[in-house]
Formats: sequence, structure tokens, C-alpha cells
Amino acid sequence: MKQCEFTQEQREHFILSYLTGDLPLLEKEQLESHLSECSCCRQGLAQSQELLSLLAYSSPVVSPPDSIRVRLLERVASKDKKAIASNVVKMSVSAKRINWRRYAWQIAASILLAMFIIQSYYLFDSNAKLKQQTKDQENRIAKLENQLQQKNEQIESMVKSTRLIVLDGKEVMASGRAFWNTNGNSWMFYFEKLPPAPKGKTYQLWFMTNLRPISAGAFQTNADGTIQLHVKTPSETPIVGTAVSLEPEGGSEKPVGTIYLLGFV
Amino acid sequence: MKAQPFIVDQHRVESLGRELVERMARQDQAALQEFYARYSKLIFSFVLKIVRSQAEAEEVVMDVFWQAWQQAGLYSQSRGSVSSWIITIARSRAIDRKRYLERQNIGDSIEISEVIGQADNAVTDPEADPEVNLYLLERREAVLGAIAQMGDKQRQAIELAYFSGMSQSEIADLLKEPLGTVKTRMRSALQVLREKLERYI
Ligand SMILES: [Zn+2]
Repeated sequence: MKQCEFTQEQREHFILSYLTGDLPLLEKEQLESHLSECSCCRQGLAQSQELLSLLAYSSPVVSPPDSIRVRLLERVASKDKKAIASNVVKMSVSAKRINWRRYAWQIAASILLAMFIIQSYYLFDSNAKLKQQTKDQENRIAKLENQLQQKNEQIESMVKSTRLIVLDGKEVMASGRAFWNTNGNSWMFYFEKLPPAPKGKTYQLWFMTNLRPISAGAFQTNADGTIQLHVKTPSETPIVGTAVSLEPEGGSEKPVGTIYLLGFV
Repeated sequence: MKAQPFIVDQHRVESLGRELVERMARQDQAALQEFYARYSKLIFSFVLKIVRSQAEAEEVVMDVFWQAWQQAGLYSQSRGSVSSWIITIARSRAIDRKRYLERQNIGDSIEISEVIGQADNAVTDPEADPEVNLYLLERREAVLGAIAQMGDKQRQAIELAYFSGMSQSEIADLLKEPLGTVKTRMRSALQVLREKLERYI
């Protein structure tokens, strides 16, 4: 075996300089070529890295919040696209549009991630200057990854917790869809082709429980017959359906006019 | 003087760690959960010490374990122990993040030092295997013991290099000391680590 030209002291000095990024580029390259030939110095380097990494154990101990674990596992699970896709197919057109965006994000992020994985694997902080250039890129990617993940989380929780209720009726050509966010306890209604209410009349939105209808408020449509309403879930449950009726101006305590739209949960 | 026997079989715990990483490389999510339970407290504490912000530490730790999950297949024993592997990923990401934040906050360095979570002194994680908990505890005691053997200036030099990512010449500038002095201190500090902790690696 070839004898190493360095003394123990020299070796320790250059290993430390190498690890702390103190070696100029030329010396660094010379050292790396020496390391590739000298198992003694390679071992010295590996041992020093192991020893230094033990310093991490001296950090004051703080428990991580459980949210990190939850988010990590969600992120890992969200790679299983098929499971989510089958969930989404049941959703309406507008939900599909969101879903498409989700994949665009994912594709963009996975390309960036792949680039990132290829360029990153350094054991120690060997050359601060070279790393500076990749850092901005890395930070951009990290930001994108975070954004992607937040969006995924938002969308996933929307998909998981949203129920679609279709409303229809025989009186007019109107139609409606309700998205019930069971987590946030709110409802989003989209009505179309509801003719403007005649003078002295108003539309009224109802939730139906097994016992009685509960008013969610009176409304007028836009000129084009559309309207979008955001409503909180009433405290009385369970909700079995939702309806729109035409009532005298000011609204009614319970529906007395014609039911225009009706949908069941 | 004969060294005290280990409380915990270090090599056994380490080899179980390698098995976890091998399973992670095969996309075994249960292995990732176990890996996380094993190292998250150590890694979070370490990253928090570097970035000094709870919110930033959470993001970095999330990325560290994500990277470990993605790169488990690249890990090989020749890179060293599993604990050193995950610590090295964490250090690299945390120092990058710290430098990025410092660049963002040129002129008002206060912003990054948010309220830091209370140290709770319980090294171990109730979720993790009791043997792993003892392993972490034993290592921490040993490392704190080794650091206590260093002179103040040696400790300062090696901590600035390791936790702040400073080069030896940057440390010399900061402390207004000759570079040679800093290098000597660093080397002595490393020798203390070797003497006291060699059996842990
Ligand atoms: Zn050599």
C-alpha cells in the first residue's frame, strides 16, 4: 500500500480546512485527487465528519410540533395520484378545473425537484462560493415546493371535505349546484337561469332538516339569472336537503310560495 | 482506563436505522414514520439552533425528511452512519436557509430571531422505541461531556464553524484573532471529540 505523504497533524489541518470551506479551489482539487488515492486520508475525513455531526446532539432539546409529521406524511401520500383522481372525478366541472391546475403544479414541481435532487448531495459545506450560486435556485425551489404543498393541501382538504348537491325543479329551466364544505361548515350555492323575481316577491333559500325547513335568507338574482351565495350551515342538523322558493317580499318563516329548486343531501 | 460499557448497543440501533433507510428506498411509508419518530426531535432541535426561528425550523425539518425520503436510495454505508447522514442533510439545509434569511434581512437582522420554543429537556420521544430513546440520551450525554472538556475558545471556534457554517478565516475575522490560532483551536477541539467520542462513530 502506498504510504501517505502527510503527517497526522497536516492531515487534520487540511481536513478541517476542507470541511470549513477554507481551501482555495486549486488546493481543494489537489486534495480531492489525493483523497481518491489515499484510503488513510479518506478515513480521516469520514471520521472527522462523523465526529463533527455528533455536535448536533448538543442542541437544546425542543419538541417539533406534530404538524410537521402530519404534513410530511400527507406529502408522501399525495404522490399517490390515482387515489385522489378517482375521488375528483365525482366532482363538478369547476372542481375539475382546480384539479387540472393541481397537476400542472405537480409536474412543474417534480421537474424542479428532480433538478434539485441531481444537483444536491454534498456531505459538508465544502465550498461556500460555488454553493452560493445554487442556493438561490434551491431557495426558489424550496419556495415553490412549499407553495405547491400548500395548494395541494388546500385542494385535497377541499376535495375530501366537499360534497356536491344538485338542485333542480320543474317550474322553470333553472338549475343549481351546492358545494357543502363539511369541514368549514359552509355552503356555496351557484344558481343559473333563475328568472328575476316578480315585483313584490323574493327568492328564499332553505335548508331542510327532518323536522322543519330553516331559512337561509332571501335573495335576488343578477340580471342574467345567475347568483352565487355563500351560507353557513345552520346549527340544527342533520341537513337532509336544500331548496329555493319564491316568497312574498321580506321572506317567510316557512316556505309558502312555489318551490323552484330542490336538492337532497 | 477502560471505557464504561454502553447502556445501549449502539451498533444494533445503528443497523436498525440502516434497515429503515433501505425500506424507505423501497417506498415503505411505515419505515419513514419510524425514521421520523426516531430522529425528528434531534433534527428539529438542531435545525432550530441554526435558524433560530420556530417557523423556519418547521419548514426546514419538513424538507429534510422529505429529502431523506427521496434520497434514501442514494444512501450507502460508505457515506457513514445513518445518524450522521440525516444530521448532515439537516445542517446543509438549515445553513442554506439561515444564509438566505440573512441576505433577505440585510440591515435588520432582528426579524429572523422569532420567539423560540421552550426547551423541554426531554431528549426522547414517547412515540419512539425505548431503546432508540436511550441511544439518543446516551449520545447526548456523551457529547455534552466532551464539549465540557474543551476550553472555551476551542468550543467557540468549533461551534461557530459547525452551527454557523463559518469558515476558519471568517471566524478569525470575527474574533479578531490570527487564522493560525483559530486553526489550532479547531484542531484541538476535534481532538477532544475524537478522544471522547470515537466509540460512538
Ligand atoms: Zn493521505
